[in-house]
Amino acid sequence: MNTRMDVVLWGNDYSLHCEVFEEIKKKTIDLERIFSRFDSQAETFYVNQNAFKKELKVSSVLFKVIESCIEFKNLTEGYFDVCYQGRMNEDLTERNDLQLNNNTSGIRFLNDNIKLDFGAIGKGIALAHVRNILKLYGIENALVSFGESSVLTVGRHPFGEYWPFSFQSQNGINEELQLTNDCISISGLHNGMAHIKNPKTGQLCQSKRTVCVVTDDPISAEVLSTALIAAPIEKHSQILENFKVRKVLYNSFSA
Amino acid sequence: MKGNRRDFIKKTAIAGAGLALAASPFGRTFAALASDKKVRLAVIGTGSRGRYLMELLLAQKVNPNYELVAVCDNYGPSLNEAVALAKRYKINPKTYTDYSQLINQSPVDGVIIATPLHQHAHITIDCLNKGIHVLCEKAMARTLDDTKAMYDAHINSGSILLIGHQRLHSNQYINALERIHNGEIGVIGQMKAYWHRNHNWRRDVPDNQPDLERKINWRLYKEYSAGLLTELMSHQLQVANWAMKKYPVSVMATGSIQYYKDGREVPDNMAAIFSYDDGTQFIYDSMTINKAEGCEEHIIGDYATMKLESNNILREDPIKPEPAPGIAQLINDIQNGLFKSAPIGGSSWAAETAVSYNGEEIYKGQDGDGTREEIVHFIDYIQQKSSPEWMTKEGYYTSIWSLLTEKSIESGERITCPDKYLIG
Repeated sequence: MNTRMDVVLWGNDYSLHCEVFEEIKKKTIDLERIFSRFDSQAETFYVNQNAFKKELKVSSVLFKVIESCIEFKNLTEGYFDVCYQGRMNEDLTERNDLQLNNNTSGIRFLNDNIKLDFGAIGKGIALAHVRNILKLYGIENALVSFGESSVLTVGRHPFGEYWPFSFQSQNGINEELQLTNDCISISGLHNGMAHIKNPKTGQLCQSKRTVCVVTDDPISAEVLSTALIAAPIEKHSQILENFKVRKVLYNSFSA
Repeated sequence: MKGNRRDFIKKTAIAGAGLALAASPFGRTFAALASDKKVRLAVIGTGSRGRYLMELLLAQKVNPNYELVAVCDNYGPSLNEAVALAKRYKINPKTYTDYSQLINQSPVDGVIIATPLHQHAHITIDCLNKGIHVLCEKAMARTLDDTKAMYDAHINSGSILLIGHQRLHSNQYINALERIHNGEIGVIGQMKAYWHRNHNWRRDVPDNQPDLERKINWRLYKEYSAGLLTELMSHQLQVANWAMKKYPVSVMATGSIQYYKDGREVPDNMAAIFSYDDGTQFIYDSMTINKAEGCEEHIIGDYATMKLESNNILREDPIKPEPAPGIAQLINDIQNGLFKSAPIGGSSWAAETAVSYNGEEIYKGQDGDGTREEIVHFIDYIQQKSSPEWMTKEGYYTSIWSLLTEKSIESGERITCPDKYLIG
């Protein structure tokens, strides 16, 4: 995921926390080995190289995520699309790019320019797995962040009833967030540079808007924060109706 | 294994760093004190490059301890332009059309030679033998024997001979090369460089004087120049040798006149592979019909790549980003028993950057390509009455290997350096 992972665990059982941290680290590395399109050893890298030539049987983890991504594409009116990478301008259509075989967990690309890119969902997938690990180990209070653009909170801060964050707008106006068992995802410009493409136009989204989505599901949060950057503002209400969202913040105003 | 290799590099770098320090051109303070007498300079060859060097001398006043006393060119229009340039700076140097008259009649301490390549050797040798120090534009000479003769004249006369490889004097390059020698990019595994232009390299010839074609467009004719090899590649081959602290053992090259079939005799495109004794390869190419790739030198190690023209280092394992400020603040507050809101998503938000990692700047603060510093150092060396010998050797071997590249292109064979051109 090429980002920094911060894990905050508090309590008295230091050895347990070390064990949990190692488990989180291991799971994250394992997921990277499935979903990275840059790592030549990763499953997604292999699929990107070969899935147009023939149907490939993929791991159940990858297959389920691809199925979810297709569903998310529908729920976001097409503004979240893991297949946008490599698509040529003439292919910017609504047509289906993937052929899935439920019987064999097989996948085939229907267009030779298609590449899977889980960059807009990968951290959410990782946080979902992290939450399961925390639950499994009985951790009641924790905070896990990937580059501060994807944050999972469990329980509370050691000196308060919630995890306190302030979402900063471009104008410096803060919106207080009182997080307990929440997931937040933030998308926008990176260091002033556009990096999200509108899958329907192939163009980089140059808007200076930053979106912060608060949900109870880290994967949905990731998908939505990306889709709301790509989609025109008038489409947002329609997209948001398809998700269970606690809060959406846009720079200095909320919707 | 990797650690051992790095240890080896660091150990060898200790010796190398000492050498670099001793050879560093930064001796200005004590040099300026070495003599109160102004250094008397002349420029021989006042074409575009010569006038550029004059402009540096006159406009920027690179050093208060010199004066430009004479200029020389056997092509009238170039000499006239040099005189006009000097007048703009309210000086009136003596003018000559024959360099031998200049060095016999004008008392000069040093000359800057910027004539066509084939004229470098005899002018340089005559100057050195008269005790005049020389800054000669690269490459050294048109032939291997002339190159060796220039070097021998420098040794026998004791006069300074500096070759115009300006990157040797650029703070940006000096910093980068020191870091390479100190092991920052690890073991050098390969080097590659290129110089791509989109220009036919022709200068306008007056309509009524077609006989001036070869004089004005001397870079295109074998009698006067080896073209891309001596005029462009030599700069970058010098950088590769500098990075390696050694010289090639062989070169294989090819080249052709593929696009500009206009009567020129030198290739308009070429490619060469230089091999060093440890197996390192330096891969080079140059072309004249497309400038998309521009000019670059890549020094590629197992820890990082330095792209020297663009002043960029690309680490294989980029330095990890600092802790994201919001989370770092939150942890700090917890450790201090505080319950405070942590900022997230605003200007303090450090987004992940590794995927779009574009490397880091090597050095800040170098203006220009080092030519100005080269002149400053030349004046200093004259005042010190000595110059770093390794710099002269850099110029020598770069010229030798540029000309051996031409022999490889002509013969189609892998070429090594004949013993008679080895100077140790």
